[in-house]
Amino acid sequence: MKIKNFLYSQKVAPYVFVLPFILSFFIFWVYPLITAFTMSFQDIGAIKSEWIGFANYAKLLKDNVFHIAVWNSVKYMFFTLVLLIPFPMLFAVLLDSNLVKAKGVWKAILYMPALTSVVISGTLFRLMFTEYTTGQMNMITAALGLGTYKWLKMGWSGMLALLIVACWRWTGVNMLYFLSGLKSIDTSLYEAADIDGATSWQKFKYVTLPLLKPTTVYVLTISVYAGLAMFLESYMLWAGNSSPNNIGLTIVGYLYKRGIEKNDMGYACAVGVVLLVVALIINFAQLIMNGTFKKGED
Amino acid sequence: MAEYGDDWTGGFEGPANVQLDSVKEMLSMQQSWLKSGFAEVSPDGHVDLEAGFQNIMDRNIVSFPKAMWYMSRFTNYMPDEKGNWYIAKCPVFKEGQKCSVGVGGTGTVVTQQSANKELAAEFTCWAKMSEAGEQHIWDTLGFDVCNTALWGDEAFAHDDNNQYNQFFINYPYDVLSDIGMDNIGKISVVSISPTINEYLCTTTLNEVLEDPDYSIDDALQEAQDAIDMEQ
Repeated sequence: MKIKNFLYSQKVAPYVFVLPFILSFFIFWVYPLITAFTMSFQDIGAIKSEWIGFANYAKLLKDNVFHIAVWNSVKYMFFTLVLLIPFPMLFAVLLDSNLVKAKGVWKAILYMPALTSVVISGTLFRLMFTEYTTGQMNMITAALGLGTYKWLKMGWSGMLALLIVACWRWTGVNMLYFLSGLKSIDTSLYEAADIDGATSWQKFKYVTLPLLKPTTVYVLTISVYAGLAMFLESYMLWAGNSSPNNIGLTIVGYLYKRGIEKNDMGYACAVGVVLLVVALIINFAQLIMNGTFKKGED
Repeated sequence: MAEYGDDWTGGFEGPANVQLDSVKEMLSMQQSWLKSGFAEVSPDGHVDLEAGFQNIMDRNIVSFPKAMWYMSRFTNYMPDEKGNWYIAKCPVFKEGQKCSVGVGGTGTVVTQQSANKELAAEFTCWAKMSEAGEQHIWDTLGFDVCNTALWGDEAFAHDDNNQYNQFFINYPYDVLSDIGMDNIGKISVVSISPTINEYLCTTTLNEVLEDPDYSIDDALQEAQDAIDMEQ
């Protein structure tokens, strides 16, 4: 009887339902976060660790390879935002309109890359971008009379390869976010706009864009983090964590290099804390600018 | 570097120093080869990737330097190369120099923490030293075995059924025996080794070999600065 009372209690039930999330949040997020933060002030050894204050952070300031990694991650994040927000939005609007036939087929085609493993697709992209003459990209450029390139040895083409993988993989996912956002827009608004004689562009600009804003802000927020935390794509494209002159090294790649490859966990934690701080600053800045925290909106 | 008896790690006493004359001589020789066009940087950076295998199979190169552990790449990626290759000693700069180098090998350490130290040690000794264990290492993995008595053993070294021997016109172990233990140089593997290897492979070699006019002194100075930060 007591158990029944407990289960049917309106006061207790909500806590029971959120308990799994709270537990996993504390065990897998809060606890590692606090531990990583404290470890970033230590020199972690196999047998004993010692407190070294801000030494790890001071070293980060002088570490050129870390600076390259940060710059690469920021560049990658910026370009993924430029490519992976407007184009998926455009595709979503097109798929939501009457201009496109066989919508299900297009949705499936664009979404399918997200279902593949990055390990497999990354390996295939690596082979496509090989500098050898039989590589797909080199065969295309050679057929166009542009010669062959060492794609994965130059800064611009290495970044291009990373962005092509990102677009191939994420366009469909972001498009689905925008499609679901579009579905929630009341069609009577478009009808009203039609009656007022609005053109397609005006409808997009004054109805679709403002009402899609919550979706856009969500996609922007997760894309900022995904861009800064990218690792696996780079790891697969260069068949390991080392790329020529570190053109493909990312912040997380550097964290892995320090923590796992060189067994310097304290320094790796400092890298991780910097990543978290950078991601939080960028995201809070864009959320504040987008007015997400203002009361009474949406 | 090992041919000159140098070791850039500085051994266990350290400190590491990559700005050695032997390293400079090696890099300037490679730059001059690249400039004259009779050598090339392997496509995608080394011969242990698909483009490298294809380059070998397309008959674009007549020779490439690689350690004995490369054997399995022939069976896994280039089965058509059977009977095509000849294995030879590394050339030397000056007569009398060592013509091979030992740079460690697959880890064979039993740690203090292991639950059954004796058993682990016994197995490691069996696998790495006994004739039966070495037979498995050579037949399955294709590594050069540490038990040097087997190098001259006819049944072991000249086994035509061994999948790796089939790729070569001569016998790999004949070359090893010919070199002999006394002619194998040594580069230490110490805690700074991963830093040196990583910096040289990702940055220095790409600078110097992708651009044969790049200053070797500058490249090595950059490498030394990066290494000094870690030691």
